[in-house]
Amino acid sequence: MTGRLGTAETARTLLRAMLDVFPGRIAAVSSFGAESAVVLHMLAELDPAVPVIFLDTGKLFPETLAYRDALVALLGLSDVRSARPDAARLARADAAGTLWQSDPDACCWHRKVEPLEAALTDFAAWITGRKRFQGASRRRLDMVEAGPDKRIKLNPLAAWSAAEVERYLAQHDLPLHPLRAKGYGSIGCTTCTRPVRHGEEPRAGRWAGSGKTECGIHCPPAAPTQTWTSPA
Amino acid sequence: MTQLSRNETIKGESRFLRGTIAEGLLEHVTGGIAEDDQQLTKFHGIYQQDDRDLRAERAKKKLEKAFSFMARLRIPGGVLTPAQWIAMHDLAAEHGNDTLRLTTRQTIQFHGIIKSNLRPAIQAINAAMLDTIAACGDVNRNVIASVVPQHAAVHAQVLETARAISAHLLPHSRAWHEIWIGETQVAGGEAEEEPILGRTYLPRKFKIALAVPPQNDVDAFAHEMGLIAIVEGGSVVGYNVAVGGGMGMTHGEPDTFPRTGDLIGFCTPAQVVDVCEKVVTIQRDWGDRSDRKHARLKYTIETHGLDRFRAELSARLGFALAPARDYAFARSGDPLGWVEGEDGRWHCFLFVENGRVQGEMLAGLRAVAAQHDGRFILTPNQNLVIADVAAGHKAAIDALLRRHGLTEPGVLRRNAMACVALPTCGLALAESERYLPELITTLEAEYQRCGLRDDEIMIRMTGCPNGCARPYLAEIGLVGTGPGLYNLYLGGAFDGTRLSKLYREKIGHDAIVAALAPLFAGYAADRRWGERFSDFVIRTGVVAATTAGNRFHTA
Repeated sequence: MTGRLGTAETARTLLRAMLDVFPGRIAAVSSFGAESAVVLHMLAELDPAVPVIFLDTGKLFPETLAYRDALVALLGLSDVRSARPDAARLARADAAGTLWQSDPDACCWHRKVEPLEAALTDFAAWITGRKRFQGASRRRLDMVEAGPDKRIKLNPLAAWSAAEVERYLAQHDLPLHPLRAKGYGSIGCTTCTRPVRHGEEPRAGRWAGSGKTECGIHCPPAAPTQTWTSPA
Repeated sequence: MTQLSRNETIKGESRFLRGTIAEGLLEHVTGGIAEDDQQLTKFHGIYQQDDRDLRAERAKKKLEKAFSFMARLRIPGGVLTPAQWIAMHDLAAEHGNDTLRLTTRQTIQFHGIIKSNLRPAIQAINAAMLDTIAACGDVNRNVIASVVPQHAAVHAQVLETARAISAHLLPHSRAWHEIWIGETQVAGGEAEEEPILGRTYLPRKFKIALAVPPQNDVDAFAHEMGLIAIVEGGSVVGYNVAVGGGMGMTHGEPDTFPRTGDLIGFCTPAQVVDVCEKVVTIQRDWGDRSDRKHARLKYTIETHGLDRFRAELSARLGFALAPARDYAFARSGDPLGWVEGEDGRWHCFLFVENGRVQGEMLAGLRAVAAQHDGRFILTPNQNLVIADVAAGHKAAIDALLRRHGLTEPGVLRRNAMACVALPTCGLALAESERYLPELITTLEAEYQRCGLRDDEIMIRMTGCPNGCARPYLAEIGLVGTGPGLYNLYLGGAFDGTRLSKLYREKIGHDAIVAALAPLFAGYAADRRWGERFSDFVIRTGVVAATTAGNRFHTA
């Protein structure tokens, strides 16, 4: 069988089928990070009005914000929505802005998991750019993650290799995130991201040295234990 | 006048299907037969083929193609005795490739018969009181009928009708008996005639199916004629008549398309053979004999219009068909497992993956046949029914089936059907029978991941657009366009009443899975109560519904 031939065609076919079956009820979630341009470019070709949710944690690199604006303009994406943490809740949970030091899981919860959940409320499905090669936690990633009572998650690049990602970026002459030149393989918040060293996995620079590998938006949500409870 | 197609000349000059077949069989220099004779053997149920897996290697060695022959039985309604089954098994072992291929026309195909084995093989078939006459070619093909042994009386009536139609429309030529069995032509005997088919036979193949609602296992609308039994008080009181169905088309030629038959009326059991004869003669006289891609009854009806066709039929019959009666289909495909009949006997619908009976299954069925006193019935979906099992005998049959590993398949596999394709079929553009099982394994994993468990979805694949597995009526149809590439069609109704629509063109394995996985997820999440997959993809706008064959290619 054709097997790995036409990886881009496969991803495009997946996205098209998803847009066909969930019209108006699907959003992409993008960090506008090191490899985000691939999925965004494919979506722009299929339907530039597909909502794209951008998680603005308040602690992002200025380069990421600039890259986002440049890419949005270049691709003509017409519905990019910034999901920000709720200011009042954040004031209670992370008044000093240092929660990332004491409890990075809780920080991610308030700045990413919760805002994303709110932003996705009206959507039946969402698109991610995750790939199996990115690290151990993603090695068994399926293209379609679905299940009873679960919001469907689509990973059109799941089976792509790093080389295929780079080939696509080059073939379509897509601009690269400026921090890539400084050695960043995966780009999150300024506080918890460092460049990767030679031989490391691309996501090794995220929460380096902490044992934490995922922010939580892709794991079954677990609220921080000592979290605030809303006053009734 | 437009020029007749080459086949018309071959048929016309064949002396009623004899050609030089008999001489060619004695020619030992080649494993094949003359080109014109290859067209004529089809009328005897025999196709010259070659092993396409070996073509390149043999060409390199400057050897001729690895020729062998496929022989197809004529078994109206698909009923065999266990003794006949054993005889066919023996034949396949001795002269064929040790497999029996059950087909969508409710019959058996033997593959890999070399030229010198052809006559012994056909003689073995004849000795088992079977034949291969008109199983291929421009004639009325094997008449198929719903497999409903649980309704014994109705089934018997429908089978009798299927056999009567088949016998009535057979070529009158004795060529088959002379060439294969050795019957001698009576010198100076009466000149042969073909009063129904004519001396150039039909313009193209002609297919008839008898359905017993609510079963639409025969896909009543996929054939030149669909006869839908109307049952009252436990007895068939007549048949609704549908005309002009057909599957085959050609890629890139939008003038060719699959078409579902049109319901034109109702006739009584006493009239039905005559109705078939008159439809055949209209097609004989009106069908396009210049372009074989445009020669089937469906195009004749498109060209002349249904009203003119009906008027002509009434004129030839000398009466008009009565208005069609009410009926309802529930499903196509076969139910699987044991079914208890009205008379207390049991019938086991056994899944045969892509109709290929081989290895352990062949051994198991032989063991069953050796102790079974009922019937074996081939289904139009390439499955097999062990019919008429006494209640006291059921456990023993069941134990034999289990002992040979014959168990029920997964929920997608049970309704999956592929044509033969590579390596034997000369028309195949892509794999079918050898590939579908692997694709189904992948799709079943995606299907289960979405939380789907018991929802049947009809999936059919063919290696070319001619449609042997009736892919354009499937909920998911895959039709080969080139090595490893398929067109993906969606939206054929589960009950076989609506054609599908092209969804993706020329895609390979990964993209097929990528296109279907989100649709499974959407179906699991958003379907309405009892909604079929094909109805879901139409309601949600993934594809438009195909309302008529001539709108098949319209978006």
